[in-house]
Amino acid sequence: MKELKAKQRNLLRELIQKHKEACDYLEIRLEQSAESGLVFSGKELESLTQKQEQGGYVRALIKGGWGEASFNDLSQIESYVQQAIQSAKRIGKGTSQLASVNGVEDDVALDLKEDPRTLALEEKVKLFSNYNQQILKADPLITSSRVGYFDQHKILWIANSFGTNIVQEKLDLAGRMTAIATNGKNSQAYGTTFGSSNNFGVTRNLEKQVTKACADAVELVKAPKVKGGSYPVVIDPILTGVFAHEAFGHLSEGDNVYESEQMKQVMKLGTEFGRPILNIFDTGLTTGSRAYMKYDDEGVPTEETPLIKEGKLVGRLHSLETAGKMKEKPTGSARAMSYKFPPICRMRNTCIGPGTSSFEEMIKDIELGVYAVETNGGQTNGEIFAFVASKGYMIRNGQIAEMVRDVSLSGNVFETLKKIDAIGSDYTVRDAAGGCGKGGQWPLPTAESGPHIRIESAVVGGV
Amino acid sequence: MKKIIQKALKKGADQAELFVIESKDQGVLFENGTLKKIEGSQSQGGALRVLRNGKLGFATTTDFDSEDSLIDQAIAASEFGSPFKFDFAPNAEFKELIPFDPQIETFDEEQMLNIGSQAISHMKAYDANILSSCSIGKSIQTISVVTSNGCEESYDRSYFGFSLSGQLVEPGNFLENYDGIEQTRIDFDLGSYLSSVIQPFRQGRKNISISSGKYQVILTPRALSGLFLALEQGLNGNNVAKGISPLKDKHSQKVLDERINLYADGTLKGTASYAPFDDEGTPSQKNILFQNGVLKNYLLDLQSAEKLNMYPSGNAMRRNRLYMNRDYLELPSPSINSWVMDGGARQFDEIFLDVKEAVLVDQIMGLLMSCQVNGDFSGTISLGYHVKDGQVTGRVKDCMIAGNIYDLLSEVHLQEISQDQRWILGAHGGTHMLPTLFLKDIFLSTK
Repeated sequence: MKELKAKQRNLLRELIQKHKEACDYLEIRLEQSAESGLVFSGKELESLTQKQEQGGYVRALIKGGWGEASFNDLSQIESYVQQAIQSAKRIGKGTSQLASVNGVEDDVALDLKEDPRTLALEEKVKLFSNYNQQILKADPLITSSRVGYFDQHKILWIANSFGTNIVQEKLDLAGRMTAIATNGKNSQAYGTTFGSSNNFGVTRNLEKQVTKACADAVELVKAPKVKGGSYPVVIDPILTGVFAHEAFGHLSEGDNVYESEQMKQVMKLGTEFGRPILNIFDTGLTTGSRAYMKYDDEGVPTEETPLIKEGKLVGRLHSLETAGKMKEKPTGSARAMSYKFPPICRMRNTCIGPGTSSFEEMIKDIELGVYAVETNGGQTNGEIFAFVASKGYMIRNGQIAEMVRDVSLSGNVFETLKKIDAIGSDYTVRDAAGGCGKGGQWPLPTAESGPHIRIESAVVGGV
Repeated sequence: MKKIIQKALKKGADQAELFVIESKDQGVLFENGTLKKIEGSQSQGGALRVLRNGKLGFATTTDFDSEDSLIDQAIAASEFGSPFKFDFAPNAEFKELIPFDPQIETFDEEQMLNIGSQAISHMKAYDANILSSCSIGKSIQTISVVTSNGCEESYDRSYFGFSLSGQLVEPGNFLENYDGIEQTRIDFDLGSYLSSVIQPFRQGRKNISISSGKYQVILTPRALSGLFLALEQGLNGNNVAKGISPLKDKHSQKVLDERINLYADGTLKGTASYAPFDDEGTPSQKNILFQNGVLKNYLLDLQSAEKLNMYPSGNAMRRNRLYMNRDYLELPSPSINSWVMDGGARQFDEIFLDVKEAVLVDQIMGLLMSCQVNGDFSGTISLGYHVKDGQVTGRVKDCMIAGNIYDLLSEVHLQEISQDQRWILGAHGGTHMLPTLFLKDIFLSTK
């Protein structure tokens, strides 16, 4: 592997050297990956898969025009470099505006607590088979299960005309274990999830979490649907993270702003987005998280980027291009899901910083409200966010009351951020299966973190 | 390819199946009103499934020089699988369906740039404040399925994609819309997409607030394609076989309103899902799902068909679960190719004129997370309008719709189906031919 790493680095160095004069910017990425995955569905081991991929992506920038090529026939790499340059030449008619960075040379090795590649396939199957059995035996109302796991090892090379030449090894692993309970015509699922970039150990000793997910599925299938309407809402740390991601994170991605005069007004640094208790940041530095990385996919060192500080907008997530055009600093947020895609502005671990409230303080004044817990995912179109909680509880007279199902929350991003009126001190980092989708690139591993928060009012979908 | 199958058998597989997709793509992208990039890609990938002692193993690769490792990995994976009883595709008769438009060869960057420039200038001319983006692309693909049971088939596919979007940001108001098409033929009518993308900018700049309650709801083809995610889960042969679909024991029974005729159709010439066979080598067909509201069939791949003792329906697809594009990295599973639904008696315009008060829903956000196998869904209306006396009065925001797809499509809620249908880019991938539905008594939650 060491030889391969060095060989490809040299190849990229030569290609960049040879062709960089023709371009304002030239970048070549290569990737080699191996993945194992398994899915139990009910009693069956539905699939056990092994995947190997290799390929590359070239981007050339000439006079503001990009020429790009992706390929997996590595023997023809130079022809794709030429193709990208030709394409860029053809459309470049303006000026290239790219943030300038210092070239970086690095060889980033893995630093693992437990390496999934040292385990035989059989051991992984056995581990997850045990969890699957545990779910299926947990309760008579549990009729099925879904247990999924994957691990992926990647070697990534990136070289560009700033002089950057990096090879990085990366590990990504994640999974979800879901219990499906059926009661008459209704069925409901509840799961527990995990993820890591440095430790297979996170998959062990999850029996307690699995037991709890089973109990939740059984309770949920008997629970009534939430009644739709507008409520004060308290959300748990996991949903808070998703809220930070959907309601604000996407808006702070530089490519949503950099070419729109209207958006530049909306997203002007210093604008008040929330009350002084609100702090939001996005970081690539969370060791062990699925969102951890030393460099982004443009070879820029990653960082912790403050986005909202004491309620005011202070930053955004940039690629070289968006930073260049906005005359701001790149933030190490340009990410590509694989060699098939270009790097674009993406989140890493998006967090709402801790506050000072306790959970009891948050709910004690709510006469009728909803406590929404964990998540089945979220979505945004910039102005409106929507997410689905895994379960909910009514809050009645300052107390947590009955469980309710089908809790979806929606609201206007700008209004809702200002309606956050209490932030808990119980900050939690969360890694989960799944990932973020944007521009055809999904699932990109991200993480979300935060404490409990209270929103004065949000629309809850229901019937 | 045959060599890999034979080698797999020699290494211990009882049956083997190789799916290979090779693709050459070209495209141009206009972003925020300017020409941004030209891109090209070359890709090849293969997926091998083996059955050994009834156990299934799956492996994929992009590098066919390492075929031994592909085979070894698939065989290794088949050590642990659960026993399945099904066979890979046999040698079968295929209808002469050729999803290849020869014009694709000469459809070049110049033409793509031309279409894009026209689209962008049209948007700018309508309103310079609307930021528009447009992508045009083509692809030439070869898709092959070879099995140890005698299936040895391959077809070339041309593919043309166009999408256009516009975004307007005004104080307190974001308005976005998109439209486009994916198809195997090249020709298309740019004009119809231009007017479709612009429509909300004509009608949706004024916001109307409504209170929570029951409304008449008009679902456009695009909104309907989103809600059909819930229906697809119920029709999915795997969910039926597992016993978790509400349709599991409803075959040949009336489930929906008798005006509903719904198909999954892979035989419509020129459309994106037009192909001689599916991703397991089963011949494409017009799969009748509901006829006069009666459940006639499910979406079935080889495995679920075997379990249910039915015939595979040509609906096995290998696709990315979020973007629904074809992906050899995924195992085949029952999936919708194109929803096709019959229209009703009256034209949309005629029915619309009779509307007293309604909410017209065109885009719903959050369905991917909320749709459940039991048919329940819940989502945020991200593009919708208030309608009064046959006229759009403005845009409705901060409004959620929730319910159950089987109820929506029953006599309880279904009022009328428009006669006119339209090919649309599905809210969650694919292209579909759907009418507009007029529904009554739908509960909407608002702030």
